[in-house]
Amino acid sequence: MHFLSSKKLFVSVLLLVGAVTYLFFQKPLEKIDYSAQVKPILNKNCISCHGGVKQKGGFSVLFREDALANTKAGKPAIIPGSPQTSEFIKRITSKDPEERMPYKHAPLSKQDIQILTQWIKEGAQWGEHWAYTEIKPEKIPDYSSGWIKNEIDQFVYQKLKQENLSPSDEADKSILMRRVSLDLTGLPPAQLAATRFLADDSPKAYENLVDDLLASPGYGERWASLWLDLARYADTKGYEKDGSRNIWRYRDWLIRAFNSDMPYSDFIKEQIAGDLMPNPDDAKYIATSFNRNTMTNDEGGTDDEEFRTAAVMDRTNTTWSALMGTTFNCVQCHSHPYDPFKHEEYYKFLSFFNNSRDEDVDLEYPLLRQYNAADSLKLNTLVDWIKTNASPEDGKKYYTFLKTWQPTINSLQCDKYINGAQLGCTAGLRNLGSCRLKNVVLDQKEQLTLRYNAKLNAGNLYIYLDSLKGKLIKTVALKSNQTPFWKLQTIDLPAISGTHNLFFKFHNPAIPALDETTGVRFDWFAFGTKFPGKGKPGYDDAMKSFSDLMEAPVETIPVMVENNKDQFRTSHVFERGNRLVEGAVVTPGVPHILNPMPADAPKNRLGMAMWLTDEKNPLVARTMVNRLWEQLFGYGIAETLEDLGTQGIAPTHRALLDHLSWKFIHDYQWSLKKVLKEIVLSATYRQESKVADGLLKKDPMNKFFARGPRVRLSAEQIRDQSLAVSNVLSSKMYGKSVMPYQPEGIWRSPYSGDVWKESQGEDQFRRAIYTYWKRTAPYPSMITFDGGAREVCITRRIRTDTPLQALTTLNDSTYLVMARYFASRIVEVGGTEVNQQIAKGYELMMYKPISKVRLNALMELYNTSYAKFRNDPKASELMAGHLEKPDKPKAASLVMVASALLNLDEWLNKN
Amino acid sequence: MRDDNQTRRLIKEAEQARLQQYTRRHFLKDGAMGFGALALGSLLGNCWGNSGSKKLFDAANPLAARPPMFPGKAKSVIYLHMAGAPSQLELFSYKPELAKLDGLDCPPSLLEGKKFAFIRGVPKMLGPQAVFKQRGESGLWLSDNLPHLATVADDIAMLNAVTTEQFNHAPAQLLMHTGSARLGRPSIGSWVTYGMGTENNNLPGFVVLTSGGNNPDAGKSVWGSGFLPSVYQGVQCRSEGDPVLFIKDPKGMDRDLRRASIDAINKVNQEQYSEYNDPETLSRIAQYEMAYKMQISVPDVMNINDEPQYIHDMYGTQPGKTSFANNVLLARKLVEKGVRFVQLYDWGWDTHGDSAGNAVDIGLINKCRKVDRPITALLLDLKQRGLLDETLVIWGTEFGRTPMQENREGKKMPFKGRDHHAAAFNMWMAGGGIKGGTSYGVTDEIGYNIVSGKTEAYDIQATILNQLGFDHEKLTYESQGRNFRLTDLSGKVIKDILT
Amino acid sequence: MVVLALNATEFIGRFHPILVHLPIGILILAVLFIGLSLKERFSYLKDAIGITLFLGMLSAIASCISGYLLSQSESYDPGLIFKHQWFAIALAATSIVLYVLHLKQKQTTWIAGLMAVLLLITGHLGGSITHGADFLFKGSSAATSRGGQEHKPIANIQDGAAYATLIQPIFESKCIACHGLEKQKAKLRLDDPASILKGGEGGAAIVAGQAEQSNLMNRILLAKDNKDHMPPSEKPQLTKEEIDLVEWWINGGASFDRKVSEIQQTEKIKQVFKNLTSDQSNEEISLVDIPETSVSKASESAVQKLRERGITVVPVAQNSNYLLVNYVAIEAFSAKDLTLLKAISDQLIWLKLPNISLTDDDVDDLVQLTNLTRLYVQKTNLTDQGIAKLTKLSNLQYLNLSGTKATAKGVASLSILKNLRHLYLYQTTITEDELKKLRMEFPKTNVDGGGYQVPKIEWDTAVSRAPIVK
Repeated sequence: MHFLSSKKLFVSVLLLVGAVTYLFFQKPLEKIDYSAQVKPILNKNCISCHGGVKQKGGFSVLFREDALANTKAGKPAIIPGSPQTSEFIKRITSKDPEERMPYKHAPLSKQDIQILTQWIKEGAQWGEHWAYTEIKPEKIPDYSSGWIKNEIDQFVYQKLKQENLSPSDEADKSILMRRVSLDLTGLPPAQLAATRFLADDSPKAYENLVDDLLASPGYGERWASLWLDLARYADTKGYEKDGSRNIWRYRDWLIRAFNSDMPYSDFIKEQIAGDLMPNPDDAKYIATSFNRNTMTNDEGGTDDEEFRTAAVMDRTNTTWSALMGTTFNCVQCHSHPYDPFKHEEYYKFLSFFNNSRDEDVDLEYPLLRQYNAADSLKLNTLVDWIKTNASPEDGKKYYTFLKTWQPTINSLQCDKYINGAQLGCTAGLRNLGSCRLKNVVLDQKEQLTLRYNAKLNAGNLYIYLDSLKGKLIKTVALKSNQTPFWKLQTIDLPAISGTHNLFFKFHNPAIPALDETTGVRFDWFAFGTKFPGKGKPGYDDAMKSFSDLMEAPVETIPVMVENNKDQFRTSHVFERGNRLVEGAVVTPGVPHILNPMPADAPKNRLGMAMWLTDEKNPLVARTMVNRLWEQLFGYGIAETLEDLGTQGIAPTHRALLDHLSWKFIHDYQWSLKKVLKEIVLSATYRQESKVADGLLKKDPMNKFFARGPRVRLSAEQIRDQSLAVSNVLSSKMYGKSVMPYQPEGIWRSPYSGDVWKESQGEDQFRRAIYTYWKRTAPYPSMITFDGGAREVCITRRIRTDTPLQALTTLNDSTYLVMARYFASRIVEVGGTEVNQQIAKGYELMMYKPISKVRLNALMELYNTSYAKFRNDPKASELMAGHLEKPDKPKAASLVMVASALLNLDEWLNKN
Repeated sequence: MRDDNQTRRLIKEAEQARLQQYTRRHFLKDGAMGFGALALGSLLGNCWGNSGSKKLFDAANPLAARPPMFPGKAKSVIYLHMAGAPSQLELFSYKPELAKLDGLDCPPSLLEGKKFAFIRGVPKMLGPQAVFKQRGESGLWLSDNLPHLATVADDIAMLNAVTTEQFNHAPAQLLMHTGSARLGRPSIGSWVTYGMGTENNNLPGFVVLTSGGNNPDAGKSVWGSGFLPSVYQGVQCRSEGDPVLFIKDPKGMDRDLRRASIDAINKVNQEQYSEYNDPETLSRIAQYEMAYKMQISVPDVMNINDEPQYIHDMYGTQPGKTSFANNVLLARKLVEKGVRFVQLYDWGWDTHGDSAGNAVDIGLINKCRKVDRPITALLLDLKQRGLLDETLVIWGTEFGRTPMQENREGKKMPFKGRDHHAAAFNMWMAGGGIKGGTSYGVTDEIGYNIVSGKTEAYDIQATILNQLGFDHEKLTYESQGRNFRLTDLSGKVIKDILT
Repeated sequence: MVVLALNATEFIGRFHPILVHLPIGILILAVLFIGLSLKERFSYLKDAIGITLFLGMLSAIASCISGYLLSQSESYDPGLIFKHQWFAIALAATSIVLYVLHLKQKQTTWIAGLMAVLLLITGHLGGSITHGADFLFKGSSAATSRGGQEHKPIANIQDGAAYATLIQPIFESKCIACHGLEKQKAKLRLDDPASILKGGEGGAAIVAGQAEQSNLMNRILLAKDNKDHMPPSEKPQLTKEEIDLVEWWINGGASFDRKVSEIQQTEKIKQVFKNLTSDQSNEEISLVDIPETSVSKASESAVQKLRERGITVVPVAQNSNYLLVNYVAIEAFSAKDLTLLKAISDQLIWLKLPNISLTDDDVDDLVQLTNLTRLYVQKTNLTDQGIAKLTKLSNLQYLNLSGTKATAKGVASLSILKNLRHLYLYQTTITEDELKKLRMEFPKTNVDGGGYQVPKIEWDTAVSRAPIVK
């Protein structure tokens, strides 16, 4: 107690208390960082009432110009440089609970208030979010360490040092080889390549392996699988009966694009606007199917405009979420609550998509008509003839028309039915029935081509101008033959100028007056000029070629085709996202916060694609690099692939992301293979994935990359590698989707006769990417291993671990069959003794010798199985299936072991 | 009094319209509803999260039981969905005034601004094709088409004024079960298992049973997990083939061998764990153990053969067949075993009148025969087992049917049928803290529009979550940087039907 | 760095509620020591006074600082804060003076007395800030502050004064926190008749005889998300019955002295009265039977042990430590598995043991779980012998004995369970007659013997067909 009486101590305690108190009230001295300090406070406390959705009191903090504008009170709430006169500060510090903001919530903390005060004092500048600023070259951190292999490692090493962590050693060759092979091609390394790599001790061995993998055809299949999720690719249309859609050529286009390492900029450009590029070939059209993977609703009685709008919105949203990692869909109903995008900007962007020709019709027009070789030749000859004998423009026009049947008017546009009705997506008229086709531009229209189906003995079609009592401009004798179902007929029209309503009336005197069956159904109408080059040599042949090609049986695929000027749709803002409440008219444009449209870009999809792939676009490259990283490491540098905005999870290595994005655009000229190569060659990627307790605790998700990635494989990878190791994987590429084994009763769509018709032969064993994808009933094992239904763009799959996954790889017949083939392979190449065979099996999977514990566990399984099967020929027969060698019981026991091998954790993971 | 006037006015109007004789046809596009109005709600919801809530998802054990926000009355849910929209006018909605209008042309006021799925032009009114009586002490009106259910009317809370904005099956079913008419959102069962997990790890937490020959129109999306981890999607249990996909061991393998194989796999995985120290490996070992247990418990619970005969008589079940009755009995068994959410879909209620099987006076009644007994049995059986109090039973559908007779393509239909009607229809709830014998909401005297007590899909969803102990506004999941919830921006708990 | 220090501000502020107990305890001890040491017998305490005072003083200063910081980061009633703050500063100052005086060995008794008084006042004011002004004197009517259906049954409703017995309690529990003595939001007070009649900023709150004209009523009836709705949406809301009562009272003239019976009564309000006079309606529905008292968290290891056996253990709600335990997924149950429950007996209130081989002996383990309110032992091997032991579980509200060997006699022994509301006896040997008798013995309990059937009727097997048209 003696020391207490020391006055010195007493005074010093008081001083200490005073000093600490003083420190608490110290004002910050550094300049406020808007993004790091201010934006989070605003997002958390203010923006829900004063942001993009609500602007209570006429005040919003989303944009500087709004925040500094007059509020309802008649004066600005924020006066830059003057916190003491800013209502904003008064309100957050007020003691009156009715006045104090945030209203009815806990007041801001002292330090938040200080930050905001200081920020206003410093001029209330709105900073830009990192992801919306132009990508600039990053300074490479200067570190030297024997561990570092390339620039990526410099960035990673810097962070590791900051976090007081050290990197791991390089993984075993066998593990690294399997990892990189699955990552780049989705398959385990081929046996030959594996042996070569494992025996090659040269410093270039690993790089050579990577080059080989990047060059292998499997590469395209693996990366196309990823893109199918983003493109919401499926082989069916979606709702209710969920009918088939022939769109697999788009999938093949992707595989080819990846394999040829098409620059990512072209890759995007062709998918967004291939049809608008000069002289589009089939491939460019097919690329645009990207945006025809939206759903079509064939259900009876739906409003097609409703679902056309839904598809257009989906295209807008997908462009942003898949290509730009932005939750732009929020802006559909209101300005973005957190990010600087305005409500109107959504509709400006949407209007890029609003003038495509599709209208949610059952037949999915517009379709690309793919002629066979002979007809293609004929088409070329014909187009050449037109070019020579009429004009190059005419040549182009007829080429487009024959390839797409566009421009045409869907009969969906008919209305004012009398004794008729819209049937599905066609216009149907009974005897003496009529309907109207409104607002047809008839200037320079000399002909009408009709696609229709007339039952019974056809009859006549009367076309009136402007009203049923108007001028009869044409009487058409409809063709009466029953085949083909749909008939094409071209008729000449009298010269009429201007825009008119046409009335169609159907009459067939042979049909009794009160018969209620439909007399005629229309599919589409095309108004145009007469076939050109009349009088030129070869005219008759050309005419014949034309009509042959019009009717030629073709395979089709839905593609994007733009409206012509006659059918132009005006785009509006939808008030609060409601398409029925149209607001201001908008024209195509991009959000003001991002890079402007390039100077030479047209105001259409092509221009938008040019904007996306402009080197100044801050989001496209970052999003893709982040995605590639996620595919290799399990998590993106910014974890929320789908949201790089202010509410997304901030990147752990922002400088690295920008560095790679910069290189992607400039050094690598948008080459994906080059970026991937750089990443997989880094020491960061090559680390072993074993983890010590300390590190696990400190970094459970491996955000700092102090170890190699260890994540469960995707649904596709799991299937493909098991097929590969069982030696049954078909190497066939491309083509129609296949139907491998699937249990009965998975498909039960109403009003649909579609059935899962099991594919035969090697089609049973194709890579997962070729499996038929039905939206309302996807392939079970895909869904179980975290695949999505692909109704909308899937930006990221979330990995789970469930007993249903175990049941799939244990019991799905597909896996039983694979286990049998695997067992037979083991017997073939594994030597005579069972333990050798099992060891060999393991080696075939993991490229390294089996450990004793593992072998013992598997031998025990073999012995237990054999003890059972030896005395049970029937069970052996059932388990062994087609296997005969060495004998049924032994084969059955080896199937048990093979099945267990295909279920091992190290097999289901990359290690 | 007022009712009489109204009816007279309607009859007068109908006659006037008939006198005009001309087959005037109304093609009124774009009613005030449809996609647009819906988009508003659903999209505001996306963007409007409260960023403070934390995720419930635990990747290592995603189905572990979790406490509700507050102690809910219900522990489990059995949701009976009649896919195709049964006619409320022949089951629950007693409209004597409609009978007076039978056969008259539909008054123009009912058609103006309306769009129908199949009705074209001016249809005729169709009076109720069933006899109604008041039932039980509560005096709830039920038709003779549900004679057994009538005996348990006092256990039911009837929602008379349910409404939706969707008049096509698939979008309407999606709205009812996922809170959005467009694909891609998690279903209510997924939300519930995400929120509460399951009390029995040997069974899936969310089971789906279908009958009637087809999946619901919206396909598996109505039990999909949307953006929630796929572990929360409904597990479809089937009465043919494996009760759960891949639950049965391959032929030739007995339980001992399965045990041996899982032991071998887990031993190897154990060594793998000691090498890599990856906690995911431990999780995988646990999942394989759980799979092994599920292989016993799922077929066991899915087998109704061992139920006593009087239970079969009570439900009208026939073991070995696929039927709604069998599914209802299974639902009881599953709930008894701790399954959190059992969703039944019975397909085939789309009574357009295009065939006898689809006629409101023929097919509908046969369909009723298949569900009346089992549903009644379910309520009584849950009650005697002490489970009704903690099991919320919902009888529902996606929309209702018009008081007009359908005239597809403007033609007279061969049978009496009704078109899709979104504006007003019935659903009911029972058990799980629901006040039996209550009736909520009123529609006009022909069941066309709502007068009071408007109930939307969101309100029903909010009520279900409330009974389980969740504030529907706070059960959220972050996806695409936003917090989503089942009920978007809407949803009120229907307090009037709660105990 | 600066930001870190600032964060610490709030952090330290949060410690105030803990810190304040130090000066209270230590300074009282010091005063005690000072007082006691006056007596010869306790003179040895003198030596301890210095250190006690010093620590008390330090903790008082620390409390002042942390309290100030807290007041900056959270919102409290500013009036109370003002008083509390200055009394606290005075207290701290006094403690410093006292300590200095003590060091100088001056007379301290009177100052100590002053400090004790200051201590009491400051402490009370502090308590008022967190618990409400009438915290000390309010007794145990905790229910009123929680909202929900809190009405205690009222014996003779018609004879009571309408305002005093029915309306005043509603205002007190739902309104006067903001419209009372301490706060008068919108200048409205609802704590005495004169103020109620006077109204507030917005004019009169009530128009006697016309509920629909009354601002007060309208505010209550506004949609909850309307910003003018009262009480504010985050506060406890009036129940439907309370709304009905207020409406009835205003319509009946808003009298402050008339008896209930003197005011005209609608059918609706009669029903409300009926509910108020009986405890039946509320209790019967309430299967949400969580004890009002809180409980500490169950031992993590005990819970883990249960879970390892495949037994589900889960809190009954997110903010509750009470537990539900379900054995439905257990593999190979043995009696040992029940002993695991002992460690969580304080927390365990709902226990499900369905369909397991539970015997009468095992009940000895169960009856130690005295907090149980729901017990599910259906389809177990229990007989009357085991059932008789269950009488020790006096809190039981729900008991499921379906499919056990229970007999009417055994079940009758349970009638001493006063709280039992639901008793399930399906698939026992108990007959319909016996059930009738049991129901007499359990007047407040829903006794369900099950055995329901759905009768076969002709309609079931009929098939409707289309009429045949020729």
